[in-house]
Amino acid sequence: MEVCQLKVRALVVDDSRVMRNMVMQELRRSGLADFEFTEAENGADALKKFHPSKIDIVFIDWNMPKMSGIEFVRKVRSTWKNEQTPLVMITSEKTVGKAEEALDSAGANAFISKPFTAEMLDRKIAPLIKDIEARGSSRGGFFSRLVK
Amino acid sequence: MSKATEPVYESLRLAESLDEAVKSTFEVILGERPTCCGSVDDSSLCPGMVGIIAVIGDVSWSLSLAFSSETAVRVAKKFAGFEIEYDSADMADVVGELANVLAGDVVARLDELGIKAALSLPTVARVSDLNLSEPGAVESLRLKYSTSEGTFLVGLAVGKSIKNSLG
Repeated sequence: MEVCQLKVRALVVDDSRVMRNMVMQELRRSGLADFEFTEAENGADALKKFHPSKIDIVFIDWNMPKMSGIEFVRKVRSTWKNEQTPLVMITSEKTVGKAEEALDSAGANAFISKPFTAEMLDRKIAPLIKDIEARGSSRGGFFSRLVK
Repeated sequence: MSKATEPVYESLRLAESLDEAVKSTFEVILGERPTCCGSVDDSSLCPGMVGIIAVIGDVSWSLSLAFSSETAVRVAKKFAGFEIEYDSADMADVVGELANVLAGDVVARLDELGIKAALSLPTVARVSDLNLSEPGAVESLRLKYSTSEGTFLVGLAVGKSIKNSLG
C-alpha cells in the first residue's frame, strides 16, 4: 500500500531571504507534509498573496518593514473571522509579553523564537499539520490534496 | 584606562544579560557555548561585517555584532544550514538576522528584570577597515568571543545612564 502525504500550501513571510529559505528547508526536512511554498517579503506583500482558500498555513516574522507580522495576524483574523488558517510567528522576539500578544491577543496559533532547531519547529508544527488534515478531511477537500 | 575597557558597573546587569544571551544564542546555532575572552579595545577583524541594531525603551542602547569574513562564512553555514558566499547579499541578511536574534535575547532577559525595550530593524555594513566607535554613548562595552568557528566581537553602547532603571 502506498503511503500518501498531505499537500500543504504554506506562505512563508520574512524580509530576510535566508530566513525564508531556512524555514522552507526545515519544513521539507521535517517530513510532516509535502509542502508547496509561496514567499512574501513583509506583511503587506503577504496580505496580497493570502486567502484562506489558497493557503493552508502561514509562517511569519514579527519585525518587518511596511507591515509587521503581528499586524498581518490581526488583519487576517479580523478579515476572515470564521477561518482557522494556522498562523505561526517565527521571530527574534522572545519576551512573554510578545508571545502573549501574538497568541492571546492577535490570534496566532504558535510562537517560535529564533534561533530554532529542527526539533523545536517539529514540536510546534506537527499538531497544526494534523489540524489542517482534520479540517481538510471534514470539508471533503483533503483527498484532492493528497500526493503519493 | 580607555572607555572600552572601563568596568561598566552601572550596566553590570545589562552586560551580564548580554553575555548570557551571546552564549545561549550561539550555543543553539553552533552547538557550543562561546568563550568570552574579555573586553577589547581594537576591532581587528578586517575585512569583516558588522550588524548593528538599536533598542529603544526604558533603556536606549545599541548592539553591534562583528565577524571577520572567514568567521562570517563559517557561522552563516551553521546558522542557515547551507553555504553562503561572503560577498553575497544573503551574507548581509544573515549577519543582520544574527544581530536581531541576539538583541531579542537580551531584550527578553531585561524584560524579566522589569526593563521594557523594543527592537528596531538591523543595519549591516561590510567593511575593509573595521573600527567600531560609539560616539555619544554614556557607556560602552566590547567583548571578544571565541568559538571553534572563529572569533567575533559583540559591542554594547548605552545612550543614557541606566542606573535608575536597573535599581
